[in-house]
Amino acid sequence: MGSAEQVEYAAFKEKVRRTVFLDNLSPLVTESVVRTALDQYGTVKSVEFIPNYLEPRNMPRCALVEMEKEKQAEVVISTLSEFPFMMSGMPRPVRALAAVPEMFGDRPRQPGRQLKVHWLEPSDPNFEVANKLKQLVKKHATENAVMLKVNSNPSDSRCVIYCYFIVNELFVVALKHQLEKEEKLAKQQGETLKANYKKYEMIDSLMADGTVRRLARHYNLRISDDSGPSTFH
Amino acid sequence: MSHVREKSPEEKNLGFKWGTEKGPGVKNRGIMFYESFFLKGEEYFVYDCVYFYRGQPEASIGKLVKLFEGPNHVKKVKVVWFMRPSEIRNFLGDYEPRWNEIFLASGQGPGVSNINLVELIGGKCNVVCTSNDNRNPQASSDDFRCAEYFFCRHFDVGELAILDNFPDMVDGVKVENFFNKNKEPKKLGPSNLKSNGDGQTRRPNLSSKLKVTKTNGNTEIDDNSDSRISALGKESKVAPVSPSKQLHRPSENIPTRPKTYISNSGTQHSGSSQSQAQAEIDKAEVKFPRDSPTSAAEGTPYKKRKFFVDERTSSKVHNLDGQLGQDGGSNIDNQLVQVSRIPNDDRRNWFEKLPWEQRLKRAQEVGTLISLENVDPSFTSEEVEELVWHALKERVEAKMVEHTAFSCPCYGKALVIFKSKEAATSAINQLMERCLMLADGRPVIARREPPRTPAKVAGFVGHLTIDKVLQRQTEEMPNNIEFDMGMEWRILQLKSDVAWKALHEVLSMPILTSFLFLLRLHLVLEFAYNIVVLSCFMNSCRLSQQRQAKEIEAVRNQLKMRWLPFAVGGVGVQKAAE
Repeated sequence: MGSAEQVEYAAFKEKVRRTVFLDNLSPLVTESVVRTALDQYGTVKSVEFIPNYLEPRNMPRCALVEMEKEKQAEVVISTLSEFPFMMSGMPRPVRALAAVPEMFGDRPRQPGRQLKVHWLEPSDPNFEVANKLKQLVKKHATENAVMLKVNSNPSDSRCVIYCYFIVNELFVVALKHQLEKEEKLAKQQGETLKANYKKYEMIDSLMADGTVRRLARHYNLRISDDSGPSTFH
Repeated sequence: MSHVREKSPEEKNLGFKWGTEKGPGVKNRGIMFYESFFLKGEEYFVYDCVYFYRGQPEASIGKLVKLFEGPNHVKKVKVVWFMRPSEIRNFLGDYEPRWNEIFLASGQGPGVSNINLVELIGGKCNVVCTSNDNRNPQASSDDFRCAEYFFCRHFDVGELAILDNFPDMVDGVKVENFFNKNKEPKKLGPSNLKSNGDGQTRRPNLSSKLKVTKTNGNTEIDDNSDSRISALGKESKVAPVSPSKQLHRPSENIPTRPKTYISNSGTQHSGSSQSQAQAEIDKAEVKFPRDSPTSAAEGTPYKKRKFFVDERTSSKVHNLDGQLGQDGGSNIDNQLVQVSRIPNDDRRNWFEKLPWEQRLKRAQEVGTLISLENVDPSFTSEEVEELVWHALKERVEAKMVEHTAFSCPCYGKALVIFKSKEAATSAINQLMERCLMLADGRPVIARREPPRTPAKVAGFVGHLTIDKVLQRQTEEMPNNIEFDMGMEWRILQLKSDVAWKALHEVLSMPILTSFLFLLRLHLVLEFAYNIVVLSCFMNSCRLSQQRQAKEIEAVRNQLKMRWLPFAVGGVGVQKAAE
């Protein structure tokens, strides 16, 4: 009776082991791109993008890629951790992690689980704590805060709710900060790249229009004709 | 002749009431015989098998053959006993009885029957007779499966032997009364059902928790009536089956629709056992739940318990006349109410569902979208739906938000779409007022989900392009600039990972220990906030960092918490990496 559930859950767990969680994907990356990219490591069974409901920004996308065998998934993860793997754009590499069940939106439930809940009526108001929390909350509220109206006689369970809000605040702040750092890095790299490219372009143009040859003749230097490893081709 | 009696005090305590009368005794007009009686909500009929507690560790099993009351309000029953194998082990000889086999006592001599007080009755017992005697209606395999005991032989106390062929009379009672009852046209299951322990030796509050399991059949679940949730300490009501009162029986439990329902209340019992419930879908129209008795007084646990389970059913809109199921779901155990399954599964497939994105958007516009936060991250969407249905009596669609690389592993979030805006608003208010608590002490928090700002379609951060240069996807080897840049990104990713981990560590602590350290909580959070601020802004604000470090020192001294070094160490690692 529970066995159908258990079987389903066991199959699901096995699938989780075979699945790779890809992060830092560009919004331009499509399923076929992912498939072709990871085909070199084994058979890709399915590719699912995790939809982004909540974060309003232009966050990098994530995907769950199910491979045929667990071994292949491990290989993907290890290779992508060692070498930066870039998809549909450079140089931000794609990150691969082992999947966990919570990443799957439509996961089956664990067999034999029981949920227990109970309602808590407002018990002895813990005024001092609640008040302090209220102050804290006001202090920490940032511009992203979406706080519910706080009633005037909170209970101890409400305190936990307040704590949760605070915690959420911290989370949001941390997330924002990470995104800022990423942008900063990207900008830095962009500038470096532009500078490098300019240099290369200049050299190329010099070589192309004969300036270099003239200068070489002038200085009695020999120019070898190997076009060096051009990085962006 | 009916005589009016006042209830004696003991009767009121036991919940004892006589049922239909049979008539006065022939020999002694002062004795009134009855067909049945009620004891603690159970109806016991003549020729029911019951448990008796007579001071021995194992309850005795007997069949009630006479129910009567004497002139001085003394209520008695005459019982013909069934012998357990242990009681007659000296006479078993080569016979090897099965573990749930008992023997009917017969013959002439002491030990066949007794007259006992009704107070000693412990509850009903399900005994089937598997004898091939042609007077015995054969029990179906289902009956046999759900029976607690069976007998196919009798033990003659005169001859001290186990015999196969049944005599015509056992202690003055026709033997047919000992065999299985005839199957009624309505096709009830076994006529004796074990009911919830109502005997005084059992604790009145059972703490058995029925596990909810699925069956293959379609059974209906009854609704969770509000009275059930509010009734703490309510005893379970399992109405006994009687051939004549089959459909009337559930009247007290039935809400508007003819479904039966059981509620188990319980106080905390350390010895409570979890009972497995299995649905038995006979051709019976009405199903009866069973619960395991958990009283320690019972001694040997009953090895085989068949229980009826509550199941997912077909739509609640349709009223199936077929089979009804029981809801064993809500257990008010120490104020925790177990969430039962939603009684509808097929209804989901009636309509073609829009993809989630559209539903979300639409719900946001209408105002029915709520986000439930602080749930256990291992919940599934279905469990969230059940939770909401159970707690708020609303049917919703829910989806657990998937984890990403930086989600805190101790929080989960679910998006819930209600049917109407009022429902959503009332849900938020209720959750704010009354704090629905999950099993691990965390309150579920509901927020109205703000409409998402439309995502900027600007390019992906981190991908650089140079016109005139083609792109390709590849794994880069360490000989070009892309590799270096890629590695820089890697470093950044690792740094973020470390920071997130430290944050999660910090964040998980307050929530888990929130109830214990409530008074210190604000300090903990203050500290946590400082840690986070540290790790986030340390590059830019050295001065404030020093100030915060001082603050942290102060808080640390106040708290003296041991996990402090780790969190600080996490920050320290980041410092080094910089």
